[in-house]
Amino acid sequence: MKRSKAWSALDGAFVIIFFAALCLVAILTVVRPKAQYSFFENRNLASFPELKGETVLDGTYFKDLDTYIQDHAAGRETCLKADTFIDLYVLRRPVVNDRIVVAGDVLLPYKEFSSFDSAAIEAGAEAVSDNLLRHSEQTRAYGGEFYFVAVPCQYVCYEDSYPWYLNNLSDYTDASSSALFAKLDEKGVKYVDMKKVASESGTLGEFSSKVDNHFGIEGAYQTYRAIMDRIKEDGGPADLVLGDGDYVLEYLPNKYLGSRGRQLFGLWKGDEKLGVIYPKENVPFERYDNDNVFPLTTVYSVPEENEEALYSLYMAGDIGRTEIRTGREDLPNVLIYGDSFTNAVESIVWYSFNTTFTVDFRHYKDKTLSELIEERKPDVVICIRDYEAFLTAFDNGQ
Amino acid sequence: MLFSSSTFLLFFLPALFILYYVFPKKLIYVRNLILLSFSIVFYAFGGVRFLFLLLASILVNYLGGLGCGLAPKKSVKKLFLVLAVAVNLGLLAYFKYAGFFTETLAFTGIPILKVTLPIGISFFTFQGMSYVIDVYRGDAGMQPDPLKVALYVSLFPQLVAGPIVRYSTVEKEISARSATIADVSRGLTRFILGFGKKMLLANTMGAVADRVFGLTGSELLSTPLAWVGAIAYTLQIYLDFSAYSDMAIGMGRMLGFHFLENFDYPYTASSVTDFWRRWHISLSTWFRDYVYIPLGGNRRGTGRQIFNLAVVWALTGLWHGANWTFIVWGVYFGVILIIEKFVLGGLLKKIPAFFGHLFTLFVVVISWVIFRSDSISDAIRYIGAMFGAGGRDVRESVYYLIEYLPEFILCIVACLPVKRKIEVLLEKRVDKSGLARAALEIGPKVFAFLVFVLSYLKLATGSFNPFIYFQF
Repeated sequence: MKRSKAWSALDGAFVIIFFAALCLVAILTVVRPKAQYSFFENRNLASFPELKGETVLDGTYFKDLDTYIQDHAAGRETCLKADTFIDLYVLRRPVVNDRIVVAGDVLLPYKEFSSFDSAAIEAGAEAVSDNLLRHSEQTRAYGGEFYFVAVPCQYVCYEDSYPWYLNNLSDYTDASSSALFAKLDEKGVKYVDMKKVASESGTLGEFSSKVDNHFGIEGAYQTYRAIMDRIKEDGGPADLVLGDGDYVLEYLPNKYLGSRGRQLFGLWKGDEKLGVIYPKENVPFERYDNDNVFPLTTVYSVPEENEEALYSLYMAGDIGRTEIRTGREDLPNVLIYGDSFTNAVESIVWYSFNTTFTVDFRHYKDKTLSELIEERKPDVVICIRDYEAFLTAFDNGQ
Repeated sequence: MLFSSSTFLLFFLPALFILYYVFPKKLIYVRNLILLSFSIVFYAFGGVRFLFLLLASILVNYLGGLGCGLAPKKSVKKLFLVLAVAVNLGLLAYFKYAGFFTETLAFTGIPILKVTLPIGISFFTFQGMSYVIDVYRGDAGMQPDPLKVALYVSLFPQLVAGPIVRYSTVEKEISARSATIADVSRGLTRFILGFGKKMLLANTMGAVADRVFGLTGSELLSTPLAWVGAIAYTLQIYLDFSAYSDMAIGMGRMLGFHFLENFDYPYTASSVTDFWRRWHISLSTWFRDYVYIPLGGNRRGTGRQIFNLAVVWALTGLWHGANWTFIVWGVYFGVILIIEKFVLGGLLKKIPAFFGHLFTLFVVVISWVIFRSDSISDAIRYIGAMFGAGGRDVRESVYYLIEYLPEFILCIVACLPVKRKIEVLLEKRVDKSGLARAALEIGPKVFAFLVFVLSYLKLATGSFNPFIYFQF
């Protein structure tokens, strides 16, 4: 049967619209200015590949070119958001973007099921506790105090929020923490287990952020208080503690996506805000990061009104070496080292010490911890590590 | 280059079609040159060095065809045929199997060769050989124009993952073809639906299968999870490969070529024999016409037929890859087909069709486990897990079923002839109902549009995107 002209016109329109749309995206992809960084994915986008004979011959050049085009295709971010929206709100997948577990009002990391080796955990606990014992003995030798502080990361705080069919790593968490704390007890290294502290006070649910691996200011303050209480309990130098009535807690009005919310491209409708704590007493200080000679006078990197709040609000993120000097010679000096979890604690702890020296050995490589302790002889040395990382014996586990 | 890549979709495809259709159909030679150039560029994206191999294959088959067509004596024709087939198989043996054979014979002290597998070598080699053999047999005419032979061998839609197009299928269309706007529209719809099958369904199943097969030998591979993984791979391999064929056939149609179907809903087969009539049709008919029948087929008694079947299936397995798993997979099918033919054939016809389908699916799922495993021992371990040697933990399998429930349902729908049934139903009513005509004309376009948008979103996310049959 002969088809009518109308249907042929429809065929033509279909083909033309399809190719016109492709051409439009292709032209926009070529002419649009290229971004170098993707905020939501927290990664650098591919750069245009360099033309080399070898890479053309083996095909690497064309593969890289394809990655470049894919990264810079017009409308890419809109597509990523639309795809996430469908998974999040239309299909309501329990795990969105293969990474984020949507558990009620909490966004948790997806953890593949994996088996863990008990012997490896024992060995890790042994190595880390040996390192901590070494630093503890070195500190005590000149009259200082050394504390190891274990903080539960988000998936540990919310392990009961995971659906039953997903891995919440509770077996690993229990095995690794039991092994490490048993070794620390055995070796006499002083430690504070914030999971235990928060559980006993019934605040484990509020200890961590709901949208980020880290805690917010509340968890950081709780950690600070637990450290100071422990130092005081041991008869150590905890002369000035920022108590409940001694500070002002302010929440930033900026939207806080957290690392999980970012991975959902800002589509999560959570309302968590990041807070900052200011002592009521005005304590002037000078802050020096790395080799900067011009001091800063803030511990918060407050975003502009139209910017997203990030965890890097605290201490401006991960920095190799920072020194905060308050000029109060009657107070003790502290050295704090650890991963990102230290940042929020540092933004409070400086109040209680004369000089606060913080190191992140992932970024600072000039000297070892032993050399820094030997050189500075701080009254208190604090190592802060989270449950996920505390069995690693390199960088801040050295 | 992948059909499911931004480079192909945004630049290659529009550029080709605009350039191609700028020239009227009477300038077929120019159109052929454009198509050949784009096919060469398409292949070069996998690495320019392999282009020389493709060009060598074209040259050998062109000369072989010329010799078989022009030689005055049968013996000389045969010499050209033998030479062309030997060079084709020699290239295939070196590039695809040298590493495997030297590794297998390493105990003799011979050095192990490390040879990179050029993309699509199995496809274009078989395609080139079929041209020379067809010319020798007189089933196809000798092509004096080297550019036309080059176009036939390198035609990009089916160059790297099939279907294996016989020269006789496209002989006339290489020299004279046209495509109406309806052809282009239908071809485009087919291409988009293949693209969607790949991006939305096959890739998802592939991610599940990769994770689960990666657990082979681990205590985490429980019995339910092993079944979920095997079923996911069963769905992935069909949807992935048939998607590529859909895209190839669709693009061919947009350019005026009519390639034969490569799949016919194989998972609805009622026996394993039936399955192989529906699965990778271009490969099974290739082996039938160029190996099984020349060996004598079923004309020389039962013993010889069993031998011929065994040879064909061992070769089919070996064609898929240089690994014992592929050979065992081929032999497995050979044995089952022989059993079906000589023992079970009558029984399968007598029992209710449901049991035939179940038996076939069971055999096929197990076959894909062998096919997907990295080694025979892994395949045994995996199959062991499927039948109770794995743990009982259901959590991860439940997660995959909940997480990908929409995809699992759509995959099953895509394996059934739902689309065909709807089309037949509507076509029956076309004369009586304008609505049926409208549904037939508009429905596929609207559906294709939606599928394209959703698939493009997946492409933009840059997630998991391999084409399984590229490795062959």
